[in-house]
Amino acid sequence: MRRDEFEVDTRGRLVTDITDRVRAFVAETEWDGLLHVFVPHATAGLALMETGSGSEEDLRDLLERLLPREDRYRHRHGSAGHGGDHLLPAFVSPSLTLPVDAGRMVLGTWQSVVIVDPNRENNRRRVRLTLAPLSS
Amino acid sequence: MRTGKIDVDTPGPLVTDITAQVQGWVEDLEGDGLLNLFLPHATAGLALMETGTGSDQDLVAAMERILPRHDRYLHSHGYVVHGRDHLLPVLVSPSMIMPVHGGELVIGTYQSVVIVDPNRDNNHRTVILSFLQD
Repeated sequence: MRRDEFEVDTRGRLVTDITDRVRAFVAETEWDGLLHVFVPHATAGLALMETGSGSEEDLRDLLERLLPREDRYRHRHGSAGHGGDHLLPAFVSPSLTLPVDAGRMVLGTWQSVVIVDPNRENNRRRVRLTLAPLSS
Repeated sequence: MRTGKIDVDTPGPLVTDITAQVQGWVEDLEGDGLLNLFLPHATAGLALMETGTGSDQDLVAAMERILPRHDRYLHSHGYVVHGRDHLLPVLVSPSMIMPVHGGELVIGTYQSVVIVDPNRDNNHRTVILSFLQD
């Protein structure tokens, strides 16, 4: 297995596309296998979605409906609505696994690997990658 | 690959923290690799979230909004709002992988491994563990 860890600045963005960084790690070998992506944070998740065509803003609207940024949460740290940030990982998991074929991620044409991070009190996120080769 | 299982009581209302049990199982492995956690149940999911600071109760309230307790569901086994329990795994998957390094679960300071289980007709859950060792 191979491992890597890097930091991402998510300042000002609900959705941060990390596809290029992940693709570069996978391309360091020509392995077939499974790539695991993990963020060790309680207020962010990982997703596969199309970016650059308006869906980021649509996701913001959806999350505002599902987890309104209001003073309704029992979790009391941070600003009003921050309690909702702590519920996001229950729906958008911080753990994601992808197939890898000869050093390339098997992603759909319109799929990007993204961090979904509604929490503006922590803009520095760590991403941990693990590439597990399949034995032939 | 090493496999095992953990039996868990989930008395409710929704979130049961199983971090200690999972860490205990991993400590015996003394290795690096990837751990898959899986629930063979149709009305529960696995998540990583902070516990003990109100978010457990906040998740109960959020689920009431997203999957309301009423009799609109076509699934009609069990008690009257049980149909909503069967939609939960679509939103909160019963399958999750976590890294293991040096015999320890790789987990953030504020993350806990939890079972999200709204179903009070079944409070006994099994977690299937599969460890893919480096």
